[in-house]
Amino acid sequence: MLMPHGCTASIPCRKIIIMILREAVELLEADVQYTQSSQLEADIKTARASDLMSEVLADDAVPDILLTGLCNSHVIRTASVFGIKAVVFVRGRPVDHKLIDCALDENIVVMTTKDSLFTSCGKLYTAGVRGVTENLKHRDSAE
Amino acid sequence: METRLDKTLEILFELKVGDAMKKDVVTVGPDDSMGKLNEEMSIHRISGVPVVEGKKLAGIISISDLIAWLTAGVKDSKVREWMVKDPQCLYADQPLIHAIKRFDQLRFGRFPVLDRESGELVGIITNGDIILGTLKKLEQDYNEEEVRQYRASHFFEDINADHLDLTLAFIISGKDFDHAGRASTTMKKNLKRLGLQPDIIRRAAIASYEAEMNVVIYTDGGTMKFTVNDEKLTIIVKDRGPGIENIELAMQEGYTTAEPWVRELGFGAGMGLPNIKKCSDFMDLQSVVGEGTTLKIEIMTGVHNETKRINPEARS
Repeated sequence: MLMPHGCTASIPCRKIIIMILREAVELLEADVQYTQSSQLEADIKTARASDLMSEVLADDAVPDILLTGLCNSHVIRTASVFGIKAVVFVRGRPVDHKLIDCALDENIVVMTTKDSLFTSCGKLYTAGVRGVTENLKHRDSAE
Repeated sequence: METRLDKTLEILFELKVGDAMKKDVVTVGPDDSMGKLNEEMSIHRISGVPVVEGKKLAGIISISDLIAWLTAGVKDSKVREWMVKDPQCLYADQPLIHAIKRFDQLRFGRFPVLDRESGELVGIITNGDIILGTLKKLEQDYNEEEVRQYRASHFFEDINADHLDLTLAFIISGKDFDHAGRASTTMKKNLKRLGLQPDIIRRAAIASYEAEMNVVIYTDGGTMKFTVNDEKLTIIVKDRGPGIENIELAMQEGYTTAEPWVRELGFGAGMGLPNIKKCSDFMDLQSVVGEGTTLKIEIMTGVHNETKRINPEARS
């Protein structure tokens, strides 16, 4: 339920709404594997998609959410070290108990979606979520 | 006896309407039919809806207006005809205490919330939202206080010496991927409890995590030693070989000797060492082939050092 019902076409709903994690879960039709309830209320403004964890760690800005096709506990550790709140595993990759244990330790939200990385990113972008580096450029040009 | 709720009052001044309001607002257009409004209200179980035209708030319509329409028995009526025009609004940047006063004065069930600059509708607020927002803030403050008390940041203040170093060491097993990163994430939590600044903690965590992954991936194991004092954080990573043949080459972004299975883990892109350098204020890498490698990282922790790092790109 991203677009509020009763919202007429002339109103740009995205302006009114800042997406929260709970809505991202619905949008991606994702299964949440680990979370604490309050974490799903976190604002999601920026995202990053990568299978290369050291590339993520070399960025200058921290995304709110990380999407990846890589499925091991190092993704969770990377998220924790870098300060990313939530991780989306794409293409319905099965997550094992080691990964969930790690998410529990580091308190990182974990979800899986059957969608591909491309589709997941497209859905989030359409809903107003932006790339973390793109966001940085925007900010710089505004200054 | 008078009850004083100083903390709550403080929160009501501190929190803004924008913090407590509902952001996902159900709206209708002025040219929508009353029948549609009736539907929306029953679907969402709400008793009042802002009417939006373009981006601007045109009015507000509530259940009493709906009843008036139903009683009148007029068919094909539009929202425009029954809504309250120029409704009372709140601005997102107003303190919550102001909202409470308005609720008290006007006895309305809800207020549309506007952005002061654009005048656009950004949310809606009810009495329930105010209570929930205040409780959430109280809980958050309580958690922060708990964390603060749990912190060991007073350690440096309580223990007296001319010079004080706190050293924590970890053993890193080579090729143990299940536990790889444990030392860095544990250390990150320790640094948090020691009360270091978030930016410093993050840089330390990234640098030590990359270094730890290097030890796990490329070597037979080693140690990591973190030393904290009021001036800087020093991380010394030692391994037992095989050593790096060409350090200059290893420091180049993109250069890697990683095998495909390392890449499958999401590492081995030749970005680790350059990233460690980027995160640290000082970095030294010494290696003897056949013996091992020693990496020394320093990150300044003093508050006065913060200004030096405004532009990390400027450093070479």
